[in-house]
Amino acid sequence: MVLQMGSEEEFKTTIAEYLESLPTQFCRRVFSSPAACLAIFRMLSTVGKQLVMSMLYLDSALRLQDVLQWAKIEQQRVVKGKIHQLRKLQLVVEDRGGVSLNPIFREQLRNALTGGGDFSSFGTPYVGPRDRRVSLAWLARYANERWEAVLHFMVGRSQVSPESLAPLSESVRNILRMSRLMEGGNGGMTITNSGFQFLLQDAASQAWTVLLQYLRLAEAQSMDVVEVLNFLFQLVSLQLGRAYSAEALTRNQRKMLGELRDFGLIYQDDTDSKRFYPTHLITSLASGTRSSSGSGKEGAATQSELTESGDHGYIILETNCRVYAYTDSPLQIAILNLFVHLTSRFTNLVTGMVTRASVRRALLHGITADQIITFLSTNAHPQMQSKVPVLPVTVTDQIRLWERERNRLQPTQAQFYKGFAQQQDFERVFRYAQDIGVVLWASKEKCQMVVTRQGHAKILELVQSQRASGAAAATATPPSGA
Amino acid sequence: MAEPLESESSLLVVVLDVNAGAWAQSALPLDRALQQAVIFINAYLALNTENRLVVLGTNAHECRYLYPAPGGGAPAHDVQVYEQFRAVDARLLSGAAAMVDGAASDGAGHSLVSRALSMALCHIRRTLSSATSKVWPRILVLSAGSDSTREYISLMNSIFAAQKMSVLIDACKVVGPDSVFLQQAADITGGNYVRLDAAGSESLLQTLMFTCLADHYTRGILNAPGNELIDFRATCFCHKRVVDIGFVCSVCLSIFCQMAPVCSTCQTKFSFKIAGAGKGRPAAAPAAATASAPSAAGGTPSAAMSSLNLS
Repeated sequence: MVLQMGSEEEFKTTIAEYLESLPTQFCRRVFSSPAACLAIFRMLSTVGKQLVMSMLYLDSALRLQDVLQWAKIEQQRVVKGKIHQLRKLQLVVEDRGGVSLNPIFREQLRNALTGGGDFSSFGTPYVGPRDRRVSLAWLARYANERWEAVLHFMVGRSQVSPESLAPLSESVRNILRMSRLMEGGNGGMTITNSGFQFLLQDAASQAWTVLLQYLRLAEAQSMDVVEVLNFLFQLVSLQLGRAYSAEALTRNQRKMLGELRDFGLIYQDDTDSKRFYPTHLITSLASGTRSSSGSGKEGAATQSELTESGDHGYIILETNCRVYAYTDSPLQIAILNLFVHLTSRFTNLVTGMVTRASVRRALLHGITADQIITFLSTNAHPQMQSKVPVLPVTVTDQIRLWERERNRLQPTQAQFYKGFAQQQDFERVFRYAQDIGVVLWASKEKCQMVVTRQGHAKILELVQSQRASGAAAATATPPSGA
Repeated sequence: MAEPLESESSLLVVVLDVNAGAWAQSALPLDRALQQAVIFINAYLALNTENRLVVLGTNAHECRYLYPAPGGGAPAHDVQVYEQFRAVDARLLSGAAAMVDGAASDGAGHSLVSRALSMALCHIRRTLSSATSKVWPRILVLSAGSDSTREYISLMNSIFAAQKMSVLIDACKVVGPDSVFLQQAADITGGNYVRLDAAGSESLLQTLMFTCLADHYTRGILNAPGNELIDFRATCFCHKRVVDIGFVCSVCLSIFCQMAPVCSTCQTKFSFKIAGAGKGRPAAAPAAATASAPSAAGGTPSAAMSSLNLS
């Protein structure tokens, strides 16, 4: 399961990076909602959370040195890093050597815990008759169907899945194009390299990718980013299986609701409906820890329902690189086909081999070995899950070796110097280049030297300033093997 | 025991001492303390959506579940943001109020902490055996009543059971002097013990956030607040007195303040070969301790009572 956590880290940093990139006045407005503060808090690392909570009810600033004293000596570097992260997210402010929580964030997080502040920031529950059709199981099925329809479309198999719902809406296609997961016009959209990588991620990472794309789309359409962001944070903190009222929402928010519906992140009867239900795809984002395989508890009741809808491990990988996948889903087969040489198909089983050619094909698509391995281990059959490690080491090592094979040559943009008039000139330039760490290759005998592109400009300056004495000549710029 | 991972969830059992008599002597009224405890609990739930919670209330007469409410209501792991905060808060406050109202006040009051710990351990055991993924259990005791020496044996049994199950016990003494038993509980199980003095009682919440919120993983990184002085003295099994030096049965390790010919716990008859040990002076103890090794062979238990310096 360690591998899985790696992928979570990835998406965590993505949303965190987005928040970091926001200017201060935007952050201030994002923090003005308790739901957003709680959602951001939940995305922090465990140590970060503890640091925030320790400071939450302190009104005075602490000296950084004192905060570091909280940690064991060998872990102080870790804690220092965490504080730095918190500062980048603008959750912690530093003032004359003292650190304290951002006052707005502190107040609103307190509100979130005590139930004060802006009451509707956690969504307004819908009062009125229940939709009898909607149960947790039904919502899970609905969300998975919708989500898979999108993935189907991406792998270009939508035509072979008659059970798939209505064709994808324009907004979904738009998002896919904007995020460069797919490219091309309406007639023939084709999947890109990042699209292949997207397919291999777990559902939570995929959902984050889509949501981040919304934020960028909102920026492009000059919508209020903070409004969109706050609405997203509100959505992720809603309760699964409960109906919420859409009446209090702004026009932009209602528009977003309609678009998220196409992805299966929420459910709404039709776009005019006054109520909506969040699905597990979006509520599970509130915790960074839940895995897509449903091994995290969504409540024992829903877990069985999730597994029922085919969201459990189905792949068996043998030490001889053979793959058996118990599935009849065209989507899953298509995804496997990205890196497995499939040989035969039965009603509920496909078999194949992981071969050098098939893995190389995947690598050419921009998929990394780690992504393949993560995908295989998260979707491993329960019988394999019980083993440690989950996948046979021989196969994972081989996949990594195949990847490294491609990386034996690393092209670097470089500059080649030759024809120094005197040994001294060469020595001087060489020493300077070494000092600034840009030398890729050098030969004192031949008075020749290769430096990186970045170093070239600096060396030019040096040479020009000493033009009188030197006659170093810069020549053409072939990329050189390093 | 595997190392805790960052993403793994916790199970926290909070034992709330709602002994009205004890709280009456506190600078911090019970309702204010409960409010602060509720915020702490919300903070705990906010840490991880999969965190599970049980709250037990205890006073001098009874011990009951406050959350999840017995017989119905949502299961403990049905956690979600805010909505769930509210459900927990309401249940907890009303349950505690009912317990306070229902109980006749009884002076300085000892609360049934050992009973609450036993219930907590049973609940943890049940939850762990049905859990599908790794859950790290711990107990937080918010204590107001003073130690009852009558509880010593059952309490120590609970503590050792907790140690064996690797359950951390954190203890926060809100009212009154240090609790010797809870100090030992925290020390043996690797938890934290804090006592609020009268001046600091307002800072209950901050103290809890700082010392008792961290999960198993984070405790590996952060320093525990130091407890330099812990009173490790035991209570004798015969008169429930705290003793510095006492006698220990070599068979069942029961502690006595006086020499006795027969162990009252395991009925072992002691053989006394050394003259002068019979008067029960601990000063003569080294002789008693070296007198004979326990030899339980042959069906005739012949055991010596050892003297143990407990300080």
